[in-house]
Amino acid sequence: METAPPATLALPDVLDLKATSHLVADLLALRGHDLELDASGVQRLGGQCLQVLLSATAAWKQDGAVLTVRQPSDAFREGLQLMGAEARLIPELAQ
Amino acid sequence: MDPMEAIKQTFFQECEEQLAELEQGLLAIEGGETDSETVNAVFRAVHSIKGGAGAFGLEDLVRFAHVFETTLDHVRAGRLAPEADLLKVMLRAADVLADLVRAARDGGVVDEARCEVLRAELGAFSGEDETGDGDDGMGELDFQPLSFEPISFEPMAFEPTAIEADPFEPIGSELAFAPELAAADGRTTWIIHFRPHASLYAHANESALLLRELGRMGEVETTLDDSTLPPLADMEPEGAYLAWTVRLTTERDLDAIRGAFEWVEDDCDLKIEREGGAAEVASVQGPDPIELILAKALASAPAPTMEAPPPIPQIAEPAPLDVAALIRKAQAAEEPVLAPANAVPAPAAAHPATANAANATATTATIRVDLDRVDRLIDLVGELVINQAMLAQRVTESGLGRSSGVVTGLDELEHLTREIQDSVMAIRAQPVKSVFQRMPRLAREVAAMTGKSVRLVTEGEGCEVDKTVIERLSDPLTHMIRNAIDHGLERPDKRIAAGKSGEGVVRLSAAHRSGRIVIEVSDDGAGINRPRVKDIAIEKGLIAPDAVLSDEEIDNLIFLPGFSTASEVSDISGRGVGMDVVKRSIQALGGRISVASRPGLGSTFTLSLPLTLAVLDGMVVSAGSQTLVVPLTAIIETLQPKAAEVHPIGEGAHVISIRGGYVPLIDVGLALGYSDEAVEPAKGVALLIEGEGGARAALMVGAIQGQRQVVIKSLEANYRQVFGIAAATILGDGRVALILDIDALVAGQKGLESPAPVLRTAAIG
Repeated sequence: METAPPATLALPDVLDLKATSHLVADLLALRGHDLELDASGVQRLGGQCLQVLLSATAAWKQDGAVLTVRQPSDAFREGLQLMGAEARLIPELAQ
Repeated sequence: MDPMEAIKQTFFQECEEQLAELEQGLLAIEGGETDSETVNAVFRAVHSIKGGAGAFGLEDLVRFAHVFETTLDHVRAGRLAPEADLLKVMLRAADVLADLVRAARDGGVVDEARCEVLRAELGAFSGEDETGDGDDGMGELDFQPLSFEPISFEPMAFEPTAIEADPFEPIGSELAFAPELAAADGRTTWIIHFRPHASLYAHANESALLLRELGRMGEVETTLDDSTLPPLADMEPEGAYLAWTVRLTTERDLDAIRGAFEWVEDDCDLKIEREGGAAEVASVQGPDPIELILAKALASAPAPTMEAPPPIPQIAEPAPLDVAALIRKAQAAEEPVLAPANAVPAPAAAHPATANAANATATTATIRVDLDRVDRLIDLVGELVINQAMLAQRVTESGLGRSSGVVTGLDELEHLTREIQDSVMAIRAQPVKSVFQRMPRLAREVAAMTGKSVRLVTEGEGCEVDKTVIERLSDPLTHMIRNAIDHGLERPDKRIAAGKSGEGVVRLSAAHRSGRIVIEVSDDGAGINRPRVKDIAIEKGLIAPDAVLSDEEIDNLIFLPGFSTASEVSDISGRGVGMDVVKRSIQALGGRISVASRPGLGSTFTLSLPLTLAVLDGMVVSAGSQTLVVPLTAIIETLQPKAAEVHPIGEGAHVISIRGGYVPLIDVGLALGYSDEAVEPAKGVALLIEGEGGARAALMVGAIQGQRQVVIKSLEANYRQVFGIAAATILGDGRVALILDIDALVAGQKGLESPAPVLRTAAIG
């Protein structure tokens, strides 16, 4: 979560409005590298964090880097599904 | 404080206001105001409580509010006439609702049986099964309590504006949905376009939960629209860029779907349409009531009448969506070049946010401010006043002429200071209504417990008093009303036997009188039973058996500590505490209480309280070696008495003749022990004053120093209570001056009211 760019970013448990600015900052710090998002601990996903994640996927794609979501928790998946974003963040799940 | 807790607190505060509205509305309806505005206000109150309670998962509250709301809805739609019987039930239901709210807040227990009974009674009126097993209201509102994880929180989230509930006007709904309800298989496919604004999240709502709510109603297909999503670097983390289109196939009607969005309507663009059909409703974000009213009119009015004005269809077609479309177009063009420094989408994306900010301003007519902040401001203004006085004194001492620029400037400063002070005090001032409102319920309850019939009449609710005074007024008033009903009023049979109406009247009134607020609690009961009061006082050893007391003195016995006329301690008024507690709390507020009673006609308790505990206009005088302040409101005139006008009367007492009449002359220095010798009439100044009860007296002082506004500093808080002194202040030269308690002084002189009048009698006796 610091400025040093690790290849993995563990997503916070609660991805709600409070988490958004941190998430943006964390992601921006990791631009340009392949990144794995560890979603195993996510208990809640809100619309605002989703938009950050979606924007991040676009950014990574544009950078030519790979961004993947690893071990999505049930809650995370449910959140994605509720908001119709499964296919965009975890394409393999949608199939 | 935990932010969640803070939001909840706000909700409960709002509830209190809603409950007050509710009760007031019901009473108004009872009084014959059955216009739709009043009925709607009542409905909205219950509706808002239910909504908030649903958000916090307060099921008991929701369930009860739901039944209540249903019945009110029938009244609103004219299916149920607001008859007296129904209103009685509703008033009691309002009481239960209040209990439920308080139980939810403070964690108490509510009498479940009572709730049940009322639910059943309400259900009987609305003709609905009241058990609440099926549609108990939670269904529509089953927000997870978690959904309210707040961040930077805005109490506005629960602001129960009129607009919020209005789109739910059942009349409109019925017209619009009747065909849909009649549909054969009961399942309809709806297309819901939902675009949350940033404010939705800021108000601690969550799109995901709203979508989940829709998912519970039936089969959903959710399509995400992220076309306005900005590049990561340009993203406002707390902005809102996503929109959803949900295809929902459900048995639920449009109302239910809208119900899911009930609390976020102002915070999103929402459009719900039947698949393949025209838009049933276009709920446009935007708090402009006119737009909403128009939209509502469009939804509910028969089509032909509405065909002429062209602007209305535009409302149905939400303008913000057009903006969004433009943004989308702009973004589509920019999409391929998602450079981090892409500047174009940013202003576009900022657009909705700006619009939201504007909305927020438009809807916020009031703000909630922490009382501490206001108090701090008041303290500071108090210091400013003192400081300004000191400055003025310095300038005077420096010998500058009246016409010098500095003096003129100072005068202006004084005016400004005065205005600031008044404005600041106005912030704290509140109508006594907030306290008075609680009394009808109390009266009902006490009446029910005592088997008496009571009508509580309130007057002058609009009188404004400082908030501190209001807050501390509630307990004494509660006690006095209880007393008035329990002890004051007779039982209906006795009343009728005495030739009165079976229904007793308790009157609660407030009025501004000579710079104070006077509150009266009067009943038309039997009046104080003086022989009995005296007997009890003797029995309890409060007075000597052979003490000779005037009627007034006997009446005042009830203010003695430990005095209680009820032979058995009832739950209602006699709990060992009595009027003495009332008296003490009133005195602590710088007020006084008195009683007047007429046998067979009733008693009147009169409270007189200062409007504010902070400032006062006073006349600065000297008495003996002391500088004192006499409240200006009490002074009628000042005069220079001639020796011939002063007549000795009795032991050390004097009267002064003023224009043919005689009033007692009180030498202030002597009375308070500041000097050993009386001021010679010709050398001093007499202030003709009038006390609360209209009693006049002349205060003899050495000299008048001037007139100014002083900031009241409590003497009790900083020192202790002193007879004849109400408070203290700091003068321009930095000295402390004492503020006279005129009434105590006058009464003390009359021998009627010293700190413990009857105790003294007892001691003598």
